[in-house]
Amino acid sequence: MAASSAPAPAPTIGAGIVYERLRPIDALPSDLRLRNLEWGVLFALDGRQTVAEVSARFGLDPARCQAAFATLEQHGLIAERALTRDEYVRAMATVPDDDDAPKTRAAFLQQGLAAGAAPAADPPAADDPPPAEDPPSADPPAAVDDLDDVAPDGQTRAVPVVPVGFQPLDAPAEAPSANDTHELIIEPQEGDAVAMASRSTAIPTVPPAPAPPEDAAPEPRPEDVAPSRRLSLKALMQAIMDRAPDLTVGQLDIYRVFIKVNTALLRRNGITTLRFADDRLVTDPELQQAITSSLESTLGMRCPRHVFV
Amino acid sequence: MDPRQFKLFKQITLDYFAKLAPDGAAPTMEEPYMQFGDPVLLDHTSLVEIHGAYDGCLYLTLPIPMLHQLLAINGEPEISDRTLADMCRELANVLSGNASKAFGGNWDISVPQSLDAAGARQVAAMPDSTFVMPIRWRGATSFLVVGLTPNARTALWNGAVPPSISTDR
Repeated sequence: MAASSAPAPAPTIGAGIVYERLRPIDALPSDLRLRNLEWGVLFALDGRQTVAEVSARFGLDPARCQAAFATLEQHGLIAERALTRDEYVRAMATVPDDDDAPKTRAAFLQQGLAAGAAPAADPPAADDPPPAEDPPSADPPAAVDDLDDVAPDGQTRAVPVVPVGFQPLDAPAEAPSANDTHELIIEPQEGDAVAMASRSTAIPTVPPAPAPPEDAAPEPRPEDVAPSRRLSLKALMQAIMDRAPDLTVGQLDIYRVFIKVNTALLRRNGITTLRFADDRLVTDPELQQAITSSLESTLGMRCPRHVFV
Repeated sequence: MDPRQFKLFKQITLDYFAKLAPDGAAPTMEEPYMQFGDPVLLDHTSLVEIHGAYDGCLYLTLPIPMLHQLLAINGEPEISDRTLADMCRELANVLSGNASKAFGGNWDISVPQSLDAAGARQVAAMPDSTFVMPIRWRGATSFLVVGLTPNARTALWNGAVPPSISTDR
């Protein structure tokens, strides 16, 4: 099976798509031939990372990486994986903006808010300064002035609030701007009861995308956007060295730990060689688990907390 | 793998190169590293398979220029496939002797094999994870490699450090 023959024009691949392998690496035909990058992408796929994330890992022009995905898909080696709503939101948050900076999920959702306000224009990034002609204002009366549906009797008031539950944890908190303002319409009711409802106004209030299905899961929790723990291999190797009587014993101990770790898993995480002074930050929970399990079974050593950064 | 045995194996392999040309610069072992998948293989490889607490192999892989140097030092003026093959067989025997000297007793050591890169890739005992020690000598680099895989014996210990590979601190 020669998969890298005549290059066909690569279809456009969305950067937010998540692909999965259709068969395990070790079940591929032995005569399968792919280009270096295509093999790299194939090994890197874990059914969780988006095209954008894989592109970033290889540090490549996204177009080249997307072409590799297209080739793999054309040859039936990978297929797009259907996502849940939360997975979709998470995936889209990895897609770089025009400034090539990956967005947090919160930023993605906030951008969605802005897009709803001005569908004809490109939405500004969450951390972009507002346009000069439309300075941010937290002054409620100014917003109220723009409302069509404010009761003339003044009983309806609008106050800006930050979207609930979407405060990014891995980006500095910012004051709400005009573009990410919800309007809480507070309408006095009989007996001074107050009802609050989110209302769509001239200022966007409802994220136009992604639209959650009616039976959607609960709102994403803030911890969903928190970066996962990263295992520092340098710190781990140093911890093993520290308990060894000399350098050679320490290096052998480290090697014995890694003998039991699946090499396909290591390579999937971009680890093909490892020097004893190298640092790699492992984010893949499966690889973290494999390393820490091997550490315990091989050396009888619990993984020290400080190796997680 | 007992670290004392491992150190001995490293040292006697370095000594082999040092004794070949006592007047020249001594061989140096550069910083070792681990390699996962695609084992490092140069033009010629001398290999022995080992079986014990782990299964695997020990091999020395060299580039053609280093073999030329070895031929010259051994007084062989002819450089041909035949003399290169002879040199590789000689190295394989040396490696096997070194391995027996260092690891004898704990490990079963196979007869030595002398292989080109393609042949070495076909060796069934070639492990995915290898411990690679670059040896720099006379402007060329060869690699002394230990490749081990867990076997049924290793699995039996299930959490304990196997006694035969205890680091014996």
